[in-house]
Amino acid sequence: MLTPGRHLVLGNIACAEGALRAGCRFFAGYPITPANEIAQYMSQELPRVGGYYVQMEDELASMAAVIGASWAGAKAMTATSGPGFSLMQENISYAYMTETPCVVVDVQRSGPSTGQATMPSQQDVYQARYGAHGDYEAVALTPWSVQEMFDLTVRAFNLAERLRMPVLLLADGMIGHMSESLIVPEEVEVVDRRRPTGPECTPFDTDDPSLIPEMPLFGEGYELLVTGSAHRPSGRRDYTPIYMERKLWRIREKVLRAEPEIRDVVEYELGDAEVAVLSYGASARPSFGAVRRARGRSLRVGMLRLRALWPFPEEVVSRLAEGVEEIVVVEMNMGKIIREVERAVCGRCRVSLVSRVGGVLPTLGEVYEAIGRAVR
Amino acid sequence: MRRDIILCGAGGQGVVLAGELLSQALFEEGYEVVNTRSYGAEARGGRCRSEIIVSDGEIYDIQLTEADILIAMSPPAYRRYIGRARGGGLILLDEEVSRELGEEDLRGDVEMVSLPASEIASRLGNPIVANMVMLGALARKTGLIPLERLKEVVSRRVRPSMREINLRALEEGYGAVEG
Repeated sequence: MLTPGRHLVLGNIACAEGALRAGCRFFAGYPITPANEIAQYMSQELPRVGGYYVQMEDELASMAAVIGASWAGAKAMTATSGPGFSLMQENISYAYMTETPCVVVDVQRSGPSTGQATMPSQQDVYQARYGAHGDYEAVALTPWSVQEMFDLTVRAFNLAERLRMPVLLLADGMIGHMSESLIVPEEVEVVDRRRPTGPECTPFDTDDPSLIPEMPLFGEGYELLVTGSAHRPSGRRDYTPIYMERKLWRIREKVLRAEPEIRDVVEYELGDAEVAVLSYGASARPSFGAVRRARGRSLRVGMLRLRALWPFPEEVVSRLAEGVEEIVVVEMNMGKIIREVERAVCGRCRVSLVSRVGGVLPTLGEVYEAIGRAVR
Repeated sequence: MRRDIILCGAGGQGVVLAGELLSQALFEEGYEVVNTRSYGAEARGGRCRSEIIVSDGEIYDIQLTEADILIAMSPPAYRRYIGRARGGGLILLDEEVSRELGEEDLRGDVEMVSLPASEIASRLGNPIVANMVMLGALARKTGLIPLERLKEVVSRRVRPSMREINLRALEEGYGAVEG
């Protein structure tokens, strides 16, 4: 592991380092570019801290192993890219249903399919939100730097433990495969799941206003049944609509109640802005450079950067629409998050898109030109 | 100050390693550095490249499009990346590369400096250290990084049996070009 202090580090290594510091002690995965360095680093480091690394036969098995490890008490993760993320969806759905804390990292690459395996994209943002079958709320974080690969991985574990659900780190091949400055802190804040203490426990319901039940583990003596089928609060399989309906509303509502706490946006110079640039992940880097250049030339431009993409910060974007004339959305896909923005804006200001696909980031110049058009 | 640097060559020439060592040295000089690398699936002989953005301020435009400094260690890599050299920029070439180039491969709007990196490396006992000869030449030619800083990083990062020859290669490269 790295010593506290300043290091020049690859984004994927910063992610793995953050995971170890957040208490991750189990990694299961299957190799894929551009996420491999996470697995490689975990395979070296986990045995040194008493953890386990398993290379599985595929992504389905990887996700299943992560869920099993979590129910045995380990903080567990996997890391993959678009095609592997697709294969994991079935078991990610199982993790939502069984309320299993774990972290899934998707270092997004350019698709569809094998696409440009070594090149970045932000094309999986909807796969992160809607890729798994069934109804659920997703939580996904989007780092824009190597530092945030570390910081947001720590946060992903803490949110997973606190909310008792899978949390996604939506990185991209640009940030994952780039080395830059990382400051490793002396200590990080670590959150652990709530565990039952009394003789009885109800693993799948709670009276707590958070709606997050305590999580027993296998081997602790509690009667425990974990199933992806509809179940009663005890875990016993039961298809009666009332149980399933209550469960689904609860696993949705537990995220929505925590939304103000999950919400993570960075605002820059929005006070007097006529135009706001909205971006996330690697795309936000050149966007921010363009906004600073525009400010330097006295254009009234600000920026809203999303560090938590899901749940979408609808309230923040809705408020933004009241104050600006145009929101310029910058993303490395053909225009996905712009739909969420348009929904939140609801016609109250103009919305435009700067989009690049083909494995390239929008450039600072391209975003600057779009700002120029928006300012009119 | 911002400089965009591309190192390119064939797999096995230590292009990615040279990029890492240069990045680390610049980082330790206190600069902000963004280093990305790409390589083919082949362990040897494929095309490979390392890109470094170095700046005294924060770096926002993280995907390098053009280079102020291009170091080319194989003819195919040179031909692929020469178009990305910025006008007025610097191209550092191994003589083994420049020998292969025709009139049509040259550009008049950049400074082209050729040095016998592979020859020097072979004379020192191992052609694989040609990458360090190129780094030494870069240090002298650009003044971007003190030779001593490069030597310090290289001493720390290469295995002991290869330390001496790598340090000599840096010095020889430094001496092979004008400042």
